[in-house]
Parts: sequence; structure tokens; C-alpha cells
Amino acid sequence: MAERGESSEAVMLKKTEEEKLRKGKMIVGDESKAGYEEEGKKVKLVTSDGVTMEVEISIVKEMEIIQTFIGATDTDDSFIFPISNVSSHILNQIIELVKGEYDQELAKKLSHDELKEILVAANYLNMKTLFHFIATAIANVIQNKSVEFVRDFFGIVNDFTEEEEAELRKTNAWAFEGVDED
Amino acid sequence: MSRVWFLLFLLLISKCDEVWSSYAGSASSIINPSKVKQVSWKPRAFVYEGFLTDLECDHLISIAKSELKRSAVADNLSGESTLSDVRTSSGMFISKNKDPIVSGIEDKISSWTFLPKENGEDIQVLRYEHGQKYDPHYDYFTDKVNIVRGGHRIATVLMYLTNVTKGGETVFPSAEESPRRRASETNIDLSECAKKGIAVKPRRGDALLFFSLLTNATPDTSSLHAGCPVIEGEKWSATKWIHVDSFDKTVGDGGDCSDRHDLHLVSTTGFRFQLLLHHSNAVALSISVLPPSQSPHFKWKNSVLILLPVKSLVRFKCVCKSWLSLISDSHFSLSHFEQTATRTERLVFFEPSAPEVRSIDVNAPLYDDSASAVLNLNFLPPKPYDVRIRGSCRGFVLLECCQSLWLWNPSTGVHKQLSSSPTMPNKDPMLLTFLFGFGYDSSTDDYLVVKVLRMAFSCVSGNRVEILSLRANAWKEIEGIHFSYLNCFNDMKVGLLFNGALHWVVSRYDLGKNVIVVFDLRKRSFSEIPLPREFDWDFNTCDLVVLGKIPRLCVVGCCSPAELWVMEEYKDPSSWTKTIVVSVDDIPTKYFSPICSTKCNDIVGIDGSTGLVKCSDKGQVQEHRYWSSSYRSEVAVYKETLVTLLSQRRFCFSPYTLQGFLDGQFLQLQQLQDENNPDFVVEVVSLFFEDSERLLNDLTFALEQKSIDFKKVDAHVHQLKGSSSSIGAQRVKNCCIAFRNFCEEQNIDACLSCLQQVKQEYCHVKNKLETMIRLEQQIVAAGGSIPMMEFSF
Repeated sequence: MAERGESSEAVMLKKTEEEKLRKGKMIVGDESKAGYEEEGKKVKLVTSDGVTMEVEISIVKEMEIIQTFIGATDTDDSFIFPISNVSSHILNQIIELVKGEYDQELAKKLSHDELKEILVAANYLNMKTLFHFIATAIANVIQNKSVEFVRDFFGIVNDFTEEEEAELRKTNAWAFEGVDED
Repeated sequence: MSRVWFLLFLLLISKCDEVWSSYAGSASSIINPSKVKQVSWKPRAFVYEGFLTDLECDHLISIAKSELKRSAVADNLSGESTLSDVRTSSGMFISKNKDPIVSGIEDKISSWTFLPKENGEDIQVLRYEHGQKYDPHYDYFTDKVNIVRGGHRIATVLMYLTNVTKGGETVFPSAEESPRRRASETNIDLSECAKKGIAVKPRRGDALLFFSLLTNATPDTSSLHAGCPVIEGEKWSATKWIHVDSFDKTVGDGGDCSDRHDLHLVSTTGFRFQLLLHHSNAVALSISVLPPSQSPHFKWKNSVLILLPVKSLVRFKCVCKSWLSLISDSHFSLSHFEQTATRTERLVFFEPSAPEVRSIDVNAPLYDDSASAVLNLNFLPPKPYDVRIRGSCRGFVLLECCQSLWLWNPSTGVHKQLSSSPTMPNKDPMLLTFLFGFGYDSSTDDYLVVKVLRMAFSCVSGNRVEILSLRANAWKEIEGIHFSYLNCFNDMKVGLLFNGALHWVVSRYDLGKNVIVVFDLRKRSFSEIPLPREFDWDFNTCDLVVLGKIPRLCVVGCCSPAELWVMEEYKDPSSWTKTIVVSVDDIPTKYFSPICSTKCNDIVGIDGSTGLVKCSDKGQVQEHRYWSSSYRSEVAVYKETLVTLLSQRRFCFSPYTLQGFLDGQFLQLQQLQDENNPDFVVEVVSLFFEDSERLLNDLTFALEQKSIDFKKVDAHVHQLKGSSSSIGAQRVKNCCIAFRNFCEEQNIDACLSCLQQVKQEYCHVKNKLETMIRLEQQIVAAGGSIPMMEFSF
């Protein structure tokens, strides 16, 4: 039955009934994936700035997008995966975060731009834990900030008229109390 | 008589065919419902025989083949053949509107499914050779965090481009087989794999449509499906996945607020879009998994904003219009509420006679004024001012003032006056409300207000239980309830909401002891829980409370010293455990009644007068703060939420409810509706109602005459046929066609039965249309327009 490759989209059910159906019909990909789950193996990734990086399989495993490739091809060690939307700097940051087991303290050291770029990269690489982690980190950064800070942070243009904004501020005045200094 | 019906039936069928075959040649996107066969209802699956022409099948295959060739060539140049191996094995995507034929197929899919074209992904063409198959899977997504462009996949249209000699069926292993089907269809043609469920055999040109979401927008687990191995032959198929929302949407990288798609009411597709939108909102708060070829556009906004506390969100409404619209969206607020991490509890605290209301963060020190905010209740009638809290549930506090009830969300200020109980105290001074409660029934997504009344001077007789359903916006009395509960004071007890039920401590008059009386909001029935045997408190000095990280029902004796009993297992009286004793010596009132626990397990309570007390989980009083006032304060715990009471039901108006009643004409009507003409469909529909009712009356009258003027009857039927076909009410129209034939024959009996049938069909379609319009109005009201809070009740 037709289905796009992403394993996250196609959900395999682990009921006995399905197990029965699946038995004896291994997909080609399943075998090659098994071969890749060896300890200490590294996968070569090429970043957007052309840097080839060797990344441990344990980290690559979280990148569902790469998993899709690994699962579906008979790759050997020489194969290089291009990740054209992620720079080497960001990939390094991601590796740090994954190795650091997603410690919010690590996120505090990241610049605002880095946070945003990692969010985009996590989405692109389909790293769920990282995505949630970074989204939480961004939420922590902005939650006590002013509206102006948030606009600046995300590069948002204010499209309200002065009157509209004043009205909104007036009706929700309580929410503007106790806001951190920018 | 039955013969007449049979004839009529035959006639209808033949007429139907006539109509359709004449259309089929003129426009390819006309859908003929008679070619659609229901395969299963759980999941909803349908096969359209001959959906694609041979030309269309061959065209799709040839595009896919040339695409395969093209990518092979490209790979030879780059030398990276491995990547393209992935692509060949997982099939080709044909971009939308690639050429007129593809576009025509997409139009056809949209007409059939009633789902807009832009909600579809690109068509994927797959080739399965001998032994190839696809394991059982779902097409919907399982996690909310990972969104998807366009939200969930709602439906899949799978078109078979070739005949397969053996195998290659699509099977639904979890489908519910109807007994009728089981008896009639034991197809020996099917492969072993296909016999494991309801199977569809690939036939060139046929299309299979199935829905991955239930009509309430939740994933349908019975939609599990698999592609059986091809045993003999080659299988080519084309798949169109359709999302609940536009799959073409892209959101700018940064926080591009000019992004139109976040403004919800794009009306080019009229009603359908809004419904789908509603639908998508139920699930939209996740992030898309993008195919590798896509640029990283995604809805980061939802995933970050949903993690913020209410106060930040209310403030960030000012960031820009699209943020305002997202934060004001009722589905966003619901998902936000359901995210436990962001829920914070606060206290609303006020003196009944003074309009100053405080909102207090229970996790901050009581003396920290920055942790409390001043709210106002200026929507209540000004004087005489006596406001009481009658309950709190899901972020809403129930207030009673001047014999009226109000619901109020202290986080957002949203409020609503409820309709008054039929038993007004001034009308019926003999009846006293002694139990009051406010809760939420998740099974019907409804808020309920419960009142138990008794005669002022009698303890056992004259009990009366009234319930207000917010959905129905009406009070109803529960009949046949007689119990011997008593509450000697004029103060009523406010019920404690826990586990979907309201709880009160009451005195059981007949036994002379106190019990907990429980009202199950779903079952709408009462039961009792005994208090601990050693618990010997007068019921006006004991209270119920829910405390702890794992919430548990507790009962407290409130004075000198206060003692707390926890029911470890709900409804198991043997599990009552005395946990802590709070020495109330340091509290001037010598009274402590807990209200809630804080994040660090401290307990916050009231001192029975105007103060708040905080004690540790060991029972050590840590803080006491009181405000000077002459009345006992009103206090309630509420969760911070943006939720606006009742969002519209999570309900999807299934195209199949419409299909058969309304045809493509109705779609066209909807497409004529736009911003300048927002009520166009409603107007046309009401004209149709007016016209039809007048004509049906005239017809009834004409057929009742002694000598029937068949010319006149025919003229009426002709008019009715015209007006029903202009709105697309195909079944009414078809009945009219038959009707006119009998008119010609001057067959009175047949005409009379036709009239009955026309009336019936008219009632059906009227019902459908009215439901649909009502739904649409609800959605427009709650779904997007800007000061939406006011409308979303």
C-alpha cells in the first residue's frame, strides 16, 4: 500500500494480528537498518557549508530523516548524507545538546539566533526530543519578556495600528505587569 | 402498493442514470455517486468504480516512468546513485497541477471527497512488482508535537492504475465486518493476505477512498491498512493523501506575521474550508515533518506558544495580528489547556461585598504582592453587591450575584451569564438550595451546574434536583430522586469536583451521620461514600478537598486541631488514612480549611474568615495573611487557561452525510460565497425552503381536489424540480422527475405516493442543510474572527 517513506508517519502497530501479517515479509530496509545499529559506528554528514562531519550513530538515530535513508538503502560506510539546511556550527551545537542529555542549562548558553536556527534544524532533521527541548528553551526565554522583545526576537513586524494596540493593551493591562527588563 | 414503489424505484434508477450519463461526457470532474460502493463503515472506506479513465491511468504511469528515468540520469551525473534508489523504491511524486490531466484528476478527487484541492499532497505513484507489499500502517500521524503541513491526514484516495492478476490487494485488517457482508462475500480470488480483513482488489481505474480520522476528528484506529504482496503481475497505484487543512501553506522562517494562512477565514472555498479548518484546529498544534526536498517552513509558532503561560500569551496578543488570531483561537486554547506543563493554579479571592478581586499565585509566598493581581468583576450588576462562588472547573469560576449565575474565566476576563433556574427563590420561598455544584462532563463536552433543593421546613420530603446544561442552555429537573440528606444551615455547600463527579459532605438525616454524597456528572446519578469511621466532625466544620501530586480526595476537620484524611483509593472507604494534623493555635480563627497544594507540596487554605494560611505537608503553619474585612472571603482555585467555555463540538460534517442529498451544484453555490457575500448560501437556502414549502402546500391542496387538475400539479412539480436542482438537492429533484411522469399518466395513486416521497426527501435535505448551516455559523463564530471571545459561548 502506498505510503511515504517517513517512519514517523506510517505507524506500525504491534498487535499480534499485525505481527502475523508482517511475519516472513521483511522489508529490504529492515535488514540494512539492523546492520547499522552497531555500537560506535559513525555516519558522515555534509552540512550546508560543505563540512563533512562524522557523527555517532547514537546521535544520528534521533534524526528521523537520516534514519529514513539508512532504513531504505544498502549503504556502506562510505556513504555521505547531505543535510543541506544545517550549518556545521549548528550541527555541532546539536551534538552538544544531545550528548548533554538536553540540559536546560546548556540552552541558556545559546544565543537567540542559535536557538532559532536549532529549532529550524530540529524540525528539518525531524528530531522530536530536540525540537521540544528547544521550543521549551525559547518559551523560557520569552515568557516574561515584553511584546517589543518578542517582536525583535522573531523579527516580527507590528501590523496593528496604534489605536488597536493601545486598546489591546488596555483590555489586558494585567498581563503587562511584572514584565522583565529587555 | 408495493408494486408501485418498486416501479418508482426502477424509474428513479433509470432516470438517475440518464442524468449522470449525460453529464459524464461534458465535464470530467462530475462525480457519479451511484458508482461509489461502501466497502466498510469502520473505517469509512469506499470504492469508486472506474474513477479514472484508461487515458488517465496511462498518463500517470508514463509520468512516473519518465520521472524515474530522469532521476536515474541525474544520478549518473552526480555519481550518487544510492539516494535515487530510495526514490525509485518509494515511488514518484507528481507535483500538483503538473498538467491538465493531473489537474483534472485532482479536481475529480476534490469533488468526490468534498475536500479542497489544496489540502492534498502531491500524487504519489508507486510500482509494486512480484513480492512487494506494504506492511500494515496508518496514514494519520500519532504525535502532536510533530506537525504536519495542513494538519492531520484526514483521508486517502488510492487509485489503481493497473489490473493485478493475483495479490496486491489493499486490506484493512482492523475493519469491522458487517454480518451481511461476511455472509455474502467470500471471494476466492483474494490472496491469503487479503483474507485477513476487508480487502479491495486492485482494478484498473478504480479508486479507494478511506478516512483516517473519525468524524470527531480523532484518529480512526480501524483505518489500519496494508498493501498485500503482489503474487502475479505488476501493480501501479497512485495515492493522494488529503489533509484537514491546506497542504500548500507555508509559513515564513522568522515570524512572518504577514502570513495570511493563520487568519482563518479564507472564504474562497466557503463553507467547506471553514469546517475543515475547525477540524484541523482540533489537531493542528504540532509541527510538520517535511519531506527532505522541502524547505524548512513550518509552524514553529504553535509549538513555542503552546508552552507559554496564560499571562504571557495574553500579553503577546499585542505582538501582531496573526499572533492575536492564533492565541484567540478556541482550539489553540483547548490544546494549551491540555498541556499539563503550562497549567498553573491560582486562587481567586474576594470579599463578597466589595468589588475588589485578587488573583493569587499559590506557589508564591502569601506576602509577596507581586504574585497577586487585582481583577475586576465589573460585568456584574453594580448594587446590591453580594457575590458568591458556587464552583470552579477548567479555569472557570461560577459566581452567583443577585440571584443570577455567571461563569467567569479570571485569566482572560471572559464571562457569561447563565439562564436562571426555574425555581426562583423569590417565587418559591419554601425551597432552599442546599447543595450547589459546577462541573464538566467530558463525554458530552458540556459544563453542568447542579442544584439540590429542599423544602425549608422539611428535611426529607420535597427534594428537588436541577441541572443546567450549558450546551442546551436550559435547566432540567432530575425526576425521582428522594434522599434523606439535610443541611441545617442556610449556607449552601459548594460541591467539590473530582473524578468527573461532584462531592459534598452532608448529614444523613435518617441515620444521624455524615456521608459524602457523590453526583456523577456523566451518569447524572447520586451515590454515597462513607466518611472514615473515626472521623467525628460536625458537617459544617468539615470540608472536602483534593490534594497531592497525584490528586486524591481528602476530608478535613477544620478546627482545633485540624485533621486531614486521605482516601488513597477512590471510593474505597477502607483506604481512608489520617495523614496530618495541623495545629491551629497560631491562627487567630483557630480554623484551617485546605484549598489546594502547591508545587512544593505545601498546603494553602483559608482561615474561615478573611485570611489565607500556608502550611507544610507535615502540618506546620508557615504563613498566615489576612485582609481586613467584615465578611468571610470567597475563595476558589482555578487553573489558568485561555479556554473560552464551549468550543463547538469536535465534529466533522462528513461528506457522506451530504453525499446523496446534495450534488455538485451545491458546491458551486458555496464557491459563489465570498467576503462580500458572506451569507450567500444561507440566503439561497432559505429561499429554497420558502419556495418548496409553498409548492408542497399547493401540491397537497391540488391533489386533494375531487377532480385533479394534472396540468396544475405538473406545473408545481416542475417548479419544485427547478428550485431543488438549483440548490443541488438531487434526491428531491429525482423524485420530481418521477412525479412528473405519473402526472402525465394521470395516475392519482402514484402521484400521491410521489408527493409523500417528495415531502420526505425535502424534510431530509432541509434537516441536513439546517444542521450544516448551524454548524457553519458556530464555526465562524468560534473559529477565527477577532474579538472572538464574546461569540464563542
